[in-house]
Amino acid sequence: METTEHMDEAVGAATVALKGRLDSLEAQGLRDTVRRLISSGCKRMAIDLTEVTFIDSAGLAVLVRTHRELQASGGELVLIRPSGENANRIFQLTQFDQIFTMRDAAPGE
Amino acid sequence: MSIATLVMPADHESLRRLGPWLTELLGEPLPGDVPGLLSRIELALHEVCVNVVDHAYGGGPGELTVTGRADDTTVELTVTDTGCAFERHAVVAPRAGVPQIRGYGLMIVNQLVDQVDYDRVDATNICTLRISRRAPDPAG
Repeated sequence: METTEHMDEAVGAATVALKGRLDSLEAQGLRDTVRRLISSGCKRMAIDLTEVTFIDSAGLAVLVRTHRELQASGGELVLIRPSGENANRIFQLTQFDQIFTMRDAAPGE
Repeated sequence: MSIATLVMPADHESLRRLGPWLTELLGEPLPGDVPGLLSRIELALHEVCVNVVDHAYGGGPGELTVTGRADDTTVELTVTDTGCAFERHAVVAPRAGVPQIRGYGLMIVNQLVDQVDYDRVDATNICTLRISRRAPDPAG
């Protein structure tokens, strides 16, 4: 999985863009990335899943944990929806599409 | 009928082999297949196998075997391992929409397949998934 991150320390906001599979093999890597960003003062995080093709329960667990941690510190996690139906399915099956703040990628993103 | 067997180490990296193996087992999509059939089955099978990797061998080396049978109407997948017994009743089932951290694997599997069976025979865990390729007839 490719990960691209951008942190604006002045406002405590970060964007993490993922590409590929967010599965049990990659979950710990994402966990390490978000923990580092939160430790650096990130309060508002956007995780861009537009180019993620597969998400399993281990990947979902990292997103849930990040959502909880940011909420507990008064912050917020926003997810940019995967562009494909296959990666979106897990949010529908668990109804996390109603728990997470999810938005579509802006046109041209 | 298409029949295939995949034997692999019980580790997360090896689970990447499931998708290509399933693609070969199912072959070209059939006109009556439910939408997203392959990806639905892949997610269900992946979750069953993640459970084996995470729990069957206590973090040590082990092996899992996946056997698949597919015809025009049904796909049947059997996952076997020789690790410790799967304590299905010990899994705390999450409720949809309630954000607990783990435990979603079986919940996801149950929603993706038509039938899940688990047996323990001669120190072997046997999990069988049955999936209909066709959407239920709305007329019953």
